[in-house]
Amino acid sequence: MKNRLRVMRAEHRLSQAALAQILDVSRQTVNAIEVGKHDPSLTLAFRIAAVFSRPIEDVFLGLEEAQMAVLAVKQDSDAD
Amino acid sequence: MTIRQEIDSDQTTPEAAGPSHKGMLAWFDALKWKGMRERDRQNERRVNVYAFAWVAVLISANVIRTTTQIAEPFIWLVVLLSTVPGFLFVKSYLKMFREGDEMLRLIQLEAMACGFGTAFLVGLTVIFLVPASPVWGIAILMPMVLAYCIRVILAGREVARDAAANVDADEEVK
Repeated sequence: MKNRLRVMRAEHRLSQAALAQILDVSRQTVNAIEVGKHDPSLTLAFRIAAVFSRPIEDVFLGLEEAQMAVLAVKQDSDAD
Repeated sequence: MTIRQEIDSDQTTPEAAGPSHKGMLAWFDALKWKGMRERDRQNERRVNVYAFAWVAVLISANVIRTTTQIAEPFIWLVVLLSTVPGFLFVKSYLKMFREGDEMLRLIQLEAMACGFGTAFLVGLTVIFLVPASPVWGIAILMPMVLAYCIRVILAGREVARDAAANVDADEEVK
């Protein structure tokens, strides 16, 4: 999953190690999420968003597509 | 302080973790990731210690069973006692899995899938093509354990390598 973790980390001047310590995960987990090799659990995703005081969709990209798909399904069911 | 220095001085690294990592117990730290949580390292070390103890007790129990003339009920006692470290191993593994970091859990899960898949593949082949023999158990167990161990080591190294390679990029952002 694409995300803006690296940019947000830079904005808050946080190193991977520091963020890992805040989130109580290993630095490898932060790195793997950052480079898109690992999708975090829902709990961790919410914790990451909370650290940067942003909504989850600001940190993790691609959620708009899911929202659009939901809207399309709703519109289809309304039309029926 | 650069991020490299910050990571090197990180309290979760084995080098900085204090006397608990010195001596023979340090041999049981299989995955020495820099940045791995101390809790995960302790859990992993406990699992490895129990695994070695279990194997040692199993071998000893087998030697006692085959070389000594012990009465029947006592043989069963030896066999039952040999399962104690096995039980502790399973319990410590579950603890490690439950409390583990997300990457650690992912690696363990993939390794278990590799082990199970290999055991299934080899097991089916052996059962269908090789006549019933006492080596069936070993023929299935050994590839399973090997596949699990190899996957853990390779995945652990890959994760550690990725994280190490990304430190320089991390510094650029700062």
